[in-house]
Amino acid sequence: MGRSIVVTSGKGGVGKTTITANLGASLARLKKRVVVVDMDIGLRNLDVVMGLENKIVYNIMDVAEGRCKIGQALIKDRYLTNSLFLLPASQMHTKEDIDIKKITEIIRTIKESFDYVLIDSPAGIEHGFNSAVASADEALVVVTPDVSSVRDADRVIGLLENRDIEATSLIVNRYNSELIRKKKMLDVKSILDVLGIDLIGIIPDDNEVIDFSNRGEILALHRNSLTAKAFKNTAKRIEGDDVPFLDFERRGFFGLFGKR
Amino acid sequence: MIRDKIMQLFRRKSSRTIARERLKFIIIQDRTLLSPPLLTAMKEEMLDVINRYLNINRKHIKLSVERRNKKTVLEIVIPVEGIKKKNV
Ligand SMILES: Nc1ncnc2c1ncn2[C@@H]1O[C@H](COP(=O)(O)OP(=O)(O)O)[C@@H](O)[C@H]1O
Ligand SMILES: [Mg+2]
Repeated sequence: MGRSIVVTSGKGGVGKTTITANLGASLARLKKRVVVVDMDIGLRNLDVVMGLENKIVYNIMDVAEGRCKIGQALIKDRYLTNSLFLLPASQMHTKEDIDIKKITEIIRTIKESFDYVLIDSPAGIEHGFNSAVASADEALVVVTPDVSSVRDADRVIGLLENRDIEATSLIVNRYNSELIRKKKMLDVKSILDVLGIDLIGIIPDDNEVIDFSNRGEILALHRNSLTAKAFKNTAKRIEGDDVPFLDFERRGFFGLFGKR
Repeated sequence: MIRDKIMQLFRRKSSRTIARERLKFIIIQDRTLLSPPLLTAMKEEMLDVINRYLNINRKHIKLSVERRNKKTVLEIVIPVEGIKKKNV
């Protein structure tokens, strides 16, 4: 039986979709069989970030409403064709159309033949959030280092605690080493002090993330940069490895700004 | 004058420090669902009660709301400077 992990946040636009794609690919690279599920019904874009938008035939609502089998809706990644699959969202439905029971059943079935199901969730704490969280064993909460993002994350962590979630860990995204050194950005320690959950990843703020997503390529698959490394290390920690965190405060990440 | 002093104080702090302080205050309000005036009122009333039994230092009270083992915990650290004579 695999693990289902929801990637969530309070505030929108903090990097859930980006992180779902990159962690999914990194776990697949670790020889795991992975399905990434887009639960942002009506606003799908995990397919676009992965460059798979032209391959979609069926989506998760088709499965839920009995128009196709799960296997027919899964789309192979272009590179990791045996280990990474996308279950796309529907673009025509709204979040209110989601039958939480059916979705939970689908995720359960997928877990039987895969190691990981990563569920990308929509912004907000309404029905869309509930349907994304309902079928998850664990949760990854994504924040960016700013007051409103951390505040909203605190709300979400409170909601997650009232559910059957086994573990909730934190990913700090868009960490900017220069701003950190100048003390112009919330540091990881302050964020952890407030939120009180375990840290599992720190992802640098890196323009290449946007560049890769424009091209529909997953950065972690094609790069050896510090950002790619941050994604890979996070995947290893999800696997249970004790990987030390890259030290952003002291040395900065020259690898990012130096020769390429 | 006073406004300038306050601005000066802010200028000396890094924006990280300001962000951290704002965040802590906002989180206490969010977690307890108390507005700042209510939070202050609660604190004062509690201190009044404690002050009937113990001599406390009102200037160095620390208030925080933390999550531990899925429970929200309100923590107040009150420096005690002695017991009231009448209790002895
Ligand atoms: N680490 C990062 N560095 C730079 N840009 C990022 C990073 N993570 C995400 N982004 C950008 O931020 C925007 C929002 O990201 P997205 O993954 O769509 O967030 P969400 O799914 O939470 O709404 C996108 O343009 C994405 O390319
Ligand atoms: Mg998204």
